[in-house]
Amino acid sequence: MEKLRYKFETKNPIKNPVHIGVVASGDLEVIFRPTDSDETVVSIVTGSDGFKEVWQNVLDRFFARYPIQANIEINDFGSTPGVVNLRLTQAMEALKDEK
Amino acid sequence: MERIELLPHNLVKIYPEEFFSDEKKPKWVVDSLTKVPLVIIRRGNIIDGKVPVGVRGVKREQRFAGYIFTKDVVSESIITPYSLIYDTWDLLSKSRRELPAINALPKIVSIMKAYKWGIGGSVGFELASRQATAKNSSDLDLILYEKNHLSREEASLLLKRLNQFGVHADLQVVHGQKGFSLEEFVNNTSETILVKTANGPKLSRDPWTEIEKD
Repeated sequence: MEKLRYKFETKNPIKNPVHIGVVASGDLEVIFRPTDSDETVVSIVTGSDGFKEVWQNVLDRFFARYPIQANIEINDFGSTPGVVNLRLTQAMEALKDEK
Repeated sequence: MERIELLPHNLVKIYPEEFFSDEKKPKWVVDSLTKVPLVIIRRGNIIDGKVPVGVRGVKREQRFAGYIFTKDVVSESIITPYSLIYDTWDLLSKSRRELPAINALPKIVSIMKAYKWGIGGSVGFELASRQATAKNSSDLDLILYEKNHLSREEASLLLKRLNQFGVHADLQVVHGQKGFSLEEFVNNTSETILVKTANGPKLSRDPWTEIEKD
């Protein structure tokens, strides 16, 4: 098990929390919470060690596209980058639905 | 060899040397296969006769991806999750049967009798191999072979009934290579559901119809 932490400079604060995904092997859950901070902190707990750079790449791409300001918690159970991308996409959909 | 049996979640008994990988095999992989020569078919296409499979180790995070050749597989060597639902736990020792995920099985059987279903994950692997694999904290991974579409209410009720035995039961609805989580279908907060396919995951507004598509 590995705990990872990333920070991003962002500018679009979210207003409501979002919870996406499932606790199951090969999957992950993603929780977005509103934050008072002026940056986004992503805290990841993952069962698969040694993927620090892969996570960095996935998150870099995501925040380049959607610079949302939030407190983000990810609990990963051995998902692939493809699954991670779709879960983040779903979280963005859920944010839009609430507006 | 019927190709239809080479589906995700099925287990295959092999000779250890039949398993190969693009990467160097760690020692635990060689040791695991020597002790229990059993691999799990991974989701993915069979290309050039190579079936994507995985090796499971003693530790939860020990998974290793590789392949076996279709020519090495005979139907007698395939163990499906569906074949494990008939009291296979009676073959385990008393202490193993006391694990929450295994202890729940006799009750799960009566709840699931209206469905075609199976047992996957660490519990399925343990039932098939009789090697201690499940942990005290293991989830119970169940497979629902999709025939009828369930409404959100039916699905919610089914999950509630399955989750009253002190173990988290997760039901994956499958059709051929495709599958989705019933828990996600019930609790979903976005308009889409993640459907896993041989060509990678995709989002769908109607997962029941999506998994039936070729």
